[in-house]
Amino acid sequence: MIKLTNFAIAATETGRAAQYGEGNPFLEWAWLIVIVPFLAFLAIVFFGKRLPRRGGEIAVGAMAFVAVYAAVLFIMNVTGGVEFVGDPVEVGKIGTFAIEWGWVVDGLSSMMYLVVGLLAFLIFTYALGYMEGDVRVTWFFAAFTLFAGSMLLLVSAPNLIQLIVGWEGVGLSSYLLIGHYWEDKENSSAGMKAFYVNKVADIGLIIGAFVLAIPVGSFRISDILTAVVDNPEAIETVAMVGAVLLFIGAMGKSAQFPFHVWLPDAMAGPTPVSALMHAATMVTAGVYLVARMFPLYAEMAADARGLVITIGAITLIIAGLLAVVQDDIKKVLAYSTVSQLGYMVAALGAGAYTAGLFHLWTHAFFKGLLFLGAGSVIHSVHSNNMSDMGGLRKPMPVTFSTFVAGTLALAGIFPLAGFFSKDEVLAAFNHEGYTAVLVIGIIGAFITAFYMARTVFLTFYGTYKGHGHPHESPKVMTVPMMILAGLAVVGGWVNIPGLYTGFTEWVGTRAHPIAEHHAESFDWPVLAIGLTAALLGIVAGYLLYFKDKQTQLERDTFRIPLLWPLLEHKYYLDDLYLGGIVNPIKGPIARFVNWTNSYIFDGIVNGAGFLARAVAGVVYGVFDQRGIDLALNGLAFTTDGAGGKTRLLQTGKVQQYAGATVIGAALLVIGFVIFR
Amino acid sequence: MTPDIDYLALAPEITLAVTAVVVLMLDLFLPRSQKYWTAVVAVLGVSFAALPLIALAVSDVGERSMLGGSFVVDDFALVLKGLFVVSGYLVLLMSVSYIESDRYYQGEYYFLMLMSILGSVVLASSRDLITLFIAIELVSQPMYLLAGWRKGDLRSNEASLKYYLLGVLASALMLYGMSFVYGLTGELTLAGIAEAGAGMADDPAFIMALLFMIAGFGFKVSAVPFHFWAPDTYEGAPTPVTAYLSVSSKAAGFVALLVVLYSAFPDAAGVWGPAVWILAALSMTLANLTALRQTNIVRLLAYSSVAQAGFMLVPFAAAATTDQIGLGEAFAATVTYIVIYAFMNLGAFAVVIAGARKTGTGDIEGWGGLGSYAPGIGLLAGAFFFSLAGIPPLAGWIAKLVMFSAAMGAGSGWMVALAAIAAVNAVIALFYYARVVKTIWMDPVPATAPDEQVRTSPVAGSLGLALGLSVVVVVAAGFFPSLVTFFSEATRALAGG
Repeated sequence: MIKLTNFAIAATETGRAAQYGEGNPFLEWAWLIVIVPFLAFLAIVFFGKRLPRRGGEIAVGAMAFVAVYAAVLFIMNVTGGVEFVGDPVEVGKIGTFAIEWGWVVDGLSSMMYLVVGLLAFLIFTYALGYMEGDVRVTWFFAAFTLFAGSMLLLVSAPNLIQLIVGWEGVGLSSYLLIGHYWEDKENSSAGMKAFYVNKVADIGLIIGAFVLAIPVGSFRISDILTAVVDNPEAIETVAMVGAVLLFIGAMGKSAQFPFHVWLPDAMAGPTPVSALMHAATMVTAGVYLVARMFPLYAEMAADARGLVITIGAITLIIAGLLAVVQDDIKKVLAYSTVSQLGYMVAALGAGAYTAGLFHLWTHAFFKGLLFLGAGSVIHSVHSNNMSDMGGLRKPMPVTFSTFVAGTLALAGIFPLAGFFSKDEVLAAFNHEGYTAVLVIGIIGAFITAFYMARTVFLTFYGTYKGHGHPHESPKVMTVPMMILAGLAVVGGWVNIPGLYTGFTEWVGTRAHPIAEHHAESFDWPVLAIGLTAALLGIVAGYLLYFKDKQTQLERDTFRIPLLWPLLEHKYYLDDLYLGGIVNPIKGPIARFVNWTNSYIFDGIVNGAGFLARAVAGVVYGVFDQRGIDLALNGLAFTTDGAGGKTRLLQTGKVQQYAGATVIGAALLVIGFVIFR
Repeated sequence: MTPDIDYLALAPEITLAVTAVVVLMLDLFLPRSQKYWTAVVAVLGVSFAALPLIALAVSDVGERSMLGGSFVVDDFALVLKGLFVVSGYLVLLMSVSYIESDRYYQGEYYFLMLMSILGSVVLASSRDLITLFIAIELVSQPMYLLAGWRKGDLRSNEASLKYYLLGVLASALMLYGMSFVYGLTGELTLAGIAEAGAGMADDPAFIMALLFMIAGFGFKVSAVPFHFWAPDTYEGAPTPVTAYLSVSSKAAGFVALLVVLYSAFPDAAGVWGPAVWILAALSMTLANLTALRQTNIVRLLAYSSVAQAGFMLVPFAAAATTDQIGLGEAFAATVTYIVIYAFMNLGAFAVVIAGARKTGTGDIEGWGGLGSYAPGIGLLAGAFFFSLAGIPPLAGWIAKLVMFSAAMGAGSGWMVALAAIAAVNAVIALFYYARVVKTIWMDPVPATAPDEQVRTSPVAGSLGLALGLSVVVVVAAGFFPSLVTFFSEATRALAGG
């Protein structure tokens, strides 16, 4: 059982007085960040086809705007701190609740704007090259812009309604993008799967939003958090339920166990989509939601954090193990993302707000980079499978070197970005006393390094086993990779305990300050163990995969008994969902209801008719009177003997339907009179 | 003494009635090739009926009551009349090319359609049981005939006969209940019933009467278990008639339910609340599960409309457990849902008409690849079906939101349970709505598809207009819900909230 610490006591409050707020023109106009992608979407839909790059230039232009604007906001936050809530536009009322569109710029959202804007800009640029000559390029860029726009809408949300709209928009556009190569049935099913899994989890988010909003009387996040801090009586009773429900929504988007099954299948989409989805949009939404609502989890619903950290820990280990056995390079990265999201979620669950977000930040750079690198390789060898690759470091030097940088960053090797963020997460586990989770995290670090080493050695070393001649990708693709590689190296230097902790201040700038512990220096034992685990992982990968043998199978004989069948079948979760939930509903249950609709009422009505006829027979025998006879004929007409006249109909079920109507009404009446 | 007649208040009804008669007369004198004029006159007549509504809405008089309180023009009546006129207008637009291609009885078709619209407009103002009954029958009776309009088609005959037989039965139930209410309270006006029946909520006869009326209205709104007619009738009837049945006729049933339950039986909410809870839960669950197995698009929409009726009933159930403010909120929630549903469902049926013409079939399988040769229809199908599924930012999402808000706001465990049932159903519904969109966009064009000429034939102008108007509302109301909530909030005065 996981121990909960009331860290609020020992915590030092962060949060600084923001220098920029009301009246600053950049903040007043920050809604442009959200609007421009949607305008670009419309422009691409209507004019894209006529442009030389089929609408791609509009998409890249819009993202360039977003990235630059976000950079301005980010710099403002770095230099003085921003805290601003735009005047919301009320667009409707449901009961006493206002539906509003608005925008928030504070430390947390300005960090997310930058991550989304920058990654989207680089990945869109890359996509110009990657998608050239592809089917439906215009449609792709339209949906891609919508995808990024929805994420920005979500991030900018000052209230839960707007957050949900953006949230669902992300889900919808991801469905369009994952199913992009819909000629292949598997791909369109993958899109549907992502959509459905997310939609199931969304039930939690929507109901949770109401659970929290109703006692507070407002959907505004600031009102809810103010209630959490200043007026606990209002929200105390529902805080726990609301926090858990919101987290269920977050588990869907952030692919946490047991909702993680959609993310690896989502690899069916074009690689730039995977890159953006895994680095900046969609999967980070759940983490963002928990971070945005963090005071709720920290103060009131501390018990809900037990669930959060447990789910995060389970996710990080099971997904890490799955990544080891994949042959599809994108699936390795996909499970890796799930696993890293587990770190972020577990960190938030442990109460380490900054550590969770810091890992989100660094992960965005190196995971975006790794996906672009994988895309570059796939683009070159026309296969996703590492068994078709090998020896690519010679023909693809830029892809190779950037991919290695991303790998080392992800593995957490000093001094790359992932080292600092992963260390901070592990140190937080240690400090808050979650020893079991710390151990899981360290094992996870070993596994991470191991599967990434395996990927690098299988892809770039040994001999080439595919067809054709692999070649380096064009500049439009490699330049974004180089930029991201730079960020994957230096991205972690913004939060070094004891030296420079800018990032902590940046994301701590918000209306409701975060109470958490901040270490004065590195947690040296944890650092040493974590780094050793990562290095051991690389060494293990080197020993197993560096020497090239003939086939994938021979190299991949490293199989742990008992665990292997579980991994091969992805813990049987897909089978469980399909066989246990989806198929029964689509198959037997729906068929049964359909059948009941058509037949069971027949049975009841026929039974009633039979009874009526039996009674009629008795009565006929006893009183052979014309009047009664007539009445009974009338009765028989409505039930069983009606055949003659209504058989004219194709199915002749009208009398049954009528019977059902009468029986339905009668049951209602009887039920009420008896049971009230 | 002649009663005091407020002609402005009656102007919409008078306009519709006069138009109907003119259409019938025109039909007598026009040669066959000129019959389309009946359509033109009908469409114009319905448009003109909207003008006095606007005049009434902006006038300072406020509530206009006449005929001893039996006929009232208040905000609720105006909003719903507006809805009926607009959806009638859209159905007429959808009918033009569809009915013209059948080449017979155009005049009679529009006459009957106008009569039904007239019935619904009167219904919105009815405040006593007799007026209400006559109005709701005036909505239904022409539909019995119109459902069987394609005389040569056996299924159309079946549709009509089934609808008629079951409809009459439901009316009998409803009337039986009404007669009991009259007998027990001695009152016909809804306000009078509310007063006289205040302490009767425990009287079994009173309960029976109330539930029989709910059963009758339940038939009109096609709630489970009174829905059996809907799939067969929807499939057999001409598609514009089906659109009308699933929107205006259903809305008429809801108006009757709203008016009767909230203004005549507010004290018996403890009786009708739980009854409607059951109907709502059954309608959502059974209809959604059945819809999963449908292969015909019209039957799918039939079950979808039954399920949507279930969602609309949810706030009714909430009303039973809340105070006066909650009552008003539940009332407004249902009105909001109805208004949004009207546009998205009419749009969906307009897509069906356009799509069926291009693909030559109502089987969903036959719609494969429609998006590739008719991208406009494909996009519209996506908009309407995703709106029905409640995906933001399309308007259907706002409908679901107000429904959840009313249910969760009631604060009782039963209502939270119903909200959870609704949420699960919203996910199940996504399966079949998304499947249609997926087929349209992602499946290959089937071998049985008609030739190039049919596939690329243009959409009739009037149908295009109906599609355009619906999609504008569905998209705009999604971003600016006040386009709808402004009106629905105005209606809540009727519930006293």
